Amino acid sequence: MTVVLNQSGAIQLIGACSVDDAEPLLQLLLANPIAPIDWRNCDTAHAAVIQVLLAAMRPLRGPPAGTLLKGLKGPAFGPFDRGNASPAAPKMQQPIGAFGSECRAVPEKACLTRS
Amino acid sequence: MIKLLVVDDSALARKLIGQMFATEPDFSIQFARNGSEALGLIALARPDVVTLDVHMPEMDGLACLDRIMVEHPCPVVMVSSATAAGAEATLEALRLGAVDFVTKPTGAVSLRIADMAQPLIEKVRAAAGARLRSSLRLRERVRHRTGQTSGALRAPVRKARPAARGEGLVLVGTSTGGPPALEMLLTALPATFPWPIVIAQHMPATFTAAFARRLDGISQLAVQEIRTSVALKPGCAYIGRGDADVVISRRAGDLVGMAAPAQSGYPWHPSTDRMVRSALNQLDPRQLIGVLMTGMGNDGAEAMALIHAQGAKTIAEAEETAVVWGMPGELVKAGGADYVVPLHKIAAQLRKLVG
Amino acid sequence: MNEFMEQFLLESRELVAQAIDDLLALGQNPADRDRLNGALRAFHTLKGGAGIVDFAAMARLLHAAEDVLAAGRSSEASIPPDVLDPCLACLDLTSRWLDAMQARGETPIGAELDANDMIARLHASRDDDEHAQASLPEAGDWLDRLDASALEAIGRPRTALRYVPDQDAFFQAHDPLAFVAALPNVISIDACLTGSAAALEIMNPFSCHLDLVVVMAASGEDVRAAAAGALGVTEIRELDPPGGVAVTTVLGEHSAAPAVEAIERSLMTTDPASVQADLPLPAHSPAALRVAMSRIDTLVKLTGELIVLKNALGHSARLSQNDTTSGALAASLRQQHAQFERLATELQTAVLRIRVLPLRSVFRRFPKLVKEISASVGKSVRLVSEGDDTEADAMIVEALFEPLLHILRNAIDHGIEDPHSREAAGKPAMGTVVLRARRDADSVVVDVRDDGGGVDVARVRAVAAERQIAGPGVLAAMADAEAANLIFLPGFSTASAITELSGRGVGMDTVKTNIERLGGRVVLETRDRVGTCISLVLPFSLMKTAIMTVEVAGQVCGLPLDTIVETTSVHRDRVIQIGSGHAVVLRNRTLPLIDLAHALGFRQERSASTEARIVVMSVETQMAGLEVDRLGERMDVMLTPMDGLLAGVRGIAGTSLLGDGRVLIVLNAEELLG
Repeated sequence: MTVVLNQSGAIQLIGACSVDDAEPLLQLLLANPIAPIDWRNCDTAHAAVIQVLLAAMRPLRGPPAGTLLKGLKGPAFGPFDRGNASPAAPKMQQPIGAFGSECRAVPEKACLTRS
Repeated sequence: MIKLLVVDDSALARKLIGQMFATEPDFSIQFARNGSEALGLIALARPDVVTLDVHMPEMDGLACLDRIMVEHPCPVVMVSSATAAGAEATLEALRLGAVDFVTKPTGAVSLRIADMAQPLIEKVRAAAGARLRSSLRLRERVRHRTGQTSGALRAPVRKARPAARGEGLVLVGTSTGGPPALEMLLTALPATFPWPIVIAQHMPATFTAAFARRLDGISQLAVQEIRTSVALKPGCAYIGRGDADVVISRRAGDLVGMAAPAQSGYPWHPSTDRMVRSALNQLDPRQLIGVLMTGMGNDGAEAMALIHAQGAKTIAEAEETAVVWGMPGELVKAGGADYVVPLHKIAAQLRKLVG
Repeated sequence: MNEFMEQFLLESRELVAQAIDDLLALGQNPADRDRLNGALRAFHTLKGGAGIVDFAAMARLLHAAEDVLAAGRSSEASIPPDVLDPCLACLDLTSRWLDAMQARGETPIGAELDANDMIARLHASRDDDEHAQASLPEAGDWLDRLDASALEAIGRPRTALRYVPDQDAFFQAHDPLAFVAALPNVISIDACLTGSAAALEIMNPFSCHLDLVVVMAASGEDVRAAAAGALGVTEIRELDPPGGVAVTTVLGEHSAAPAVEAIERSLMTTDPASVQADLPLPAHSPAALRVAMSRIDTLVKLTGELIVLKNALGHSARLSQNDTTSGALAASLRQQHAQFERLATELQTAVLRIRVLPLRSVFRRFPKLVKEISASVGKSVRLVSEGDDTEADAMIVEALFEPLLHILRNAIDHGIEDPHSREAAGKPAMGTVVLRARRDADSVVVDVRDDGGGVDVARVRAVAAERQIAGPGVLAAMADAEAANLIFLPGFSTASAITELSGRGVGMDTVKTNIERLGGRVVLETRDRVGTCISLVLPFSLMKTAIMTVEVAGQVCGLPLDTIVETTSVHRDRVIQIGSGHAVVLRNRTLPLIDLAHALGFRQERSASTEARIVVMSVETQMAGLEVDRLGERMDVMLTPMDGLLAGVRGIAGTSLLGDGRVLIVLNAEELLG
């Protein structure tokens, strides 16, 4: 069992979470509507598990153990330790808003090469 | 010693199949390059089992099968392609009396030779000891000869949805010999059957949709494949998608059947064991009926024995009608079967249990 | 090769031949069902064989072809010819694969991509919507999702991939996340759900609704190859290295746009129309591309390495040529070298164009300054700027300000006469200084022309004599044009009055030094009472110097190509001894002949050969011949200025790495001849 409800009421992802863990995770999320997710002990997760996390938009206690997971970007991941914050709920299709405006920001040391 | 005749127009395929059996000491193999050669060899050598390529020039696999069944009935394992067209032809072959089938590797699922070898050897070995159902054969033969499709022989079926009477679920597991057996079971159930029926029939992915369509055309129940997920309704039967598993779950309170990627822990897919266990998480065992029918191996025996122990009713197909009495036999041996009945009586037993 | 492979090849060739036969017959008689069935069977069996030998690409391709043909069979109509052609093309490709397998005993490299292309072509031949190219869910410009940190320059090509897997992907034992994580040099992965994803309450976790964006430090080419196994729709964009602006979009096509093209396209930002046509850039796409200098420098450095590699290739080509046993190798190496050269040059040009600036950026500062300067010396001067849209390397443009300002000061202070003198000479009271920039081949020339009194050559001679810059004999022998150039010598100042402007200890010698440091030359032209023109001839960029290599005393040196007039060889009898020096008459002109080996201190005695190889050089107004042992070849090098202890060595312009790893010393012709 790599998806469990622990004693403090958090849904824990442990070790390598395979595609088969997606449905138990979903069941736990539905049965525990306010339970946060703790993936600090999660090493790897199948994409099916990740998309459940994305759909859940629950507070996520992290960072996760696995390097790949740690570096994952997207609306549901990071900043970590949002345990106390209310679940952020941006629209699903819309990724983190700030990126759009920041990605073409001009670095400080810049020169104009075309006018 | 099992005498095997391999019929295939492709020298490469003959070589491949020959190679697969070369390591099996109890097989002696002969080859035929086409249908007419095969018929001659069957008459002469009387093989215990035949593997037959569905697509061949001149006399194609189905025509050859039909003549085998009439002239020298013997167990035949079809070798087909895992395509929609291959599925139709293979299902037709199963109706004509072929015991089982294997699919050739294709690029979409790049199988290694060893992956195909194991199921082929097992299926051929099981088929060599299989029983042939003559009655079914005769009827289908006539149908095939007259060029009619099975559906055309029947009156259009009315699909009236019965009202749900309590919540419950019938879970059916089957493998070798399953397609004709399921046909017999489902056609014998009325459109008013009150519990949804979820079926795990071991099959490749490309076959189950065609199989569900076929069953839907001939039975009063509405039959559909569980492609992704579907709410389970009375008066309906659901075929788990091939090469994947089927699990029972709930969404917004309703029971749903959901296709799940094949779980590596189970050797056969859709896995009856996994289906039955998932149902146990959603329903009281007394709301479950397990049916285990013809098939080699032991899939479903363990989980059905488990729900039997917890209060569910279970039915195992009797040895006398099973093409291969593997799965139901294991359930019986485990003491997990409430009823052991021949195929043609399973429908009646079910109606009695939910009535 | 195992026996299956042999059998496979044998059988497949027969089947391909049979299928081609059937298809061609179908072309003649599209209603021929027997031929169609025959072709279908052949395709089917070919596919089966491919599955057996585990050649997935071939099986996939033939499956697609079989589908297309089978669709033709189920319809009552005859097979349309536009279906036959791609099917024949499939067989053709299959044939080539079989050849490759025969030769190498394994499935051919790149087959997946070839199969993709061909399958796309097959699907394109069908007009039903069902098989139309799957399209990505709209999500605005998905590059907006990229985190700024993912766009940090790391000096390599970067490529972004958007991957929306098929909903069914998990059922193919495919983990899209693991798949993208295994792509080359992943920098970041961004995951979100597609618009079709259901709410958690009714979600099917096994239906994939992921929308992934991956940034990789890899070329678009590499990413395209690595992403060939994706189960779903992918879109690949090459990012230009520093700015995070997408420069090329590739959707479902596999023909690669070379990096050069990509960079070129990114440079089209001055033409918004063409940009919009190609690129779905957001509306606020800026007209100017702001690029951090450091990132550009990385590119410049990379290009430099590429040039070195290019020279290395040329070197191996030459080596192999001497080896008579491998003429074919030599030919292919030469050809590769030629291609590489073209590519490197294109890339270099493209890179150079990133860091060019119009001279306007420095010219526009002068009108105000000229006004102030002329007012301070009581003269009336107007400044005319021409060609200020001429472009040059940003560093050169920036470095031009000081020298130009100094020349302008000089022109106003010393060149332009005071209004009275001008009127007396019949000129308008207001002086004119023309600042003109133009492109001349690989050079950028900036002229500062005044309509003043010209350099007072007599005065220059007097000052030179007075300050002992040159001996009286030398001065007397100098032509006027030569004498005027004395103003560029250190410490020279002709201002008869120490003015506010010229009393700063900075003379024309500084101008000359600065321009030469940039790889340029200063040319003075002056006519008494008509005016003076000082031209700064600068390389278009700092990067490339065209040189010719020569060999002296076993040492290879480079000579700047722009100073070489011609190369010739003369019989030693024609070398004339003049005092301690030598000269040679070429086309009725006597040129001093400098023995390079001697000048560089490599050797004292003259070469014993009967022919003297001579490079005729022209610097400013002087011409001279350099005697060398052997003439080398023309090449473009990245010139690294000498620094440290060697910075002061005369006669050396800089160094460059040669293909064989040796350091090439590039000589400074001015200093050699001077």
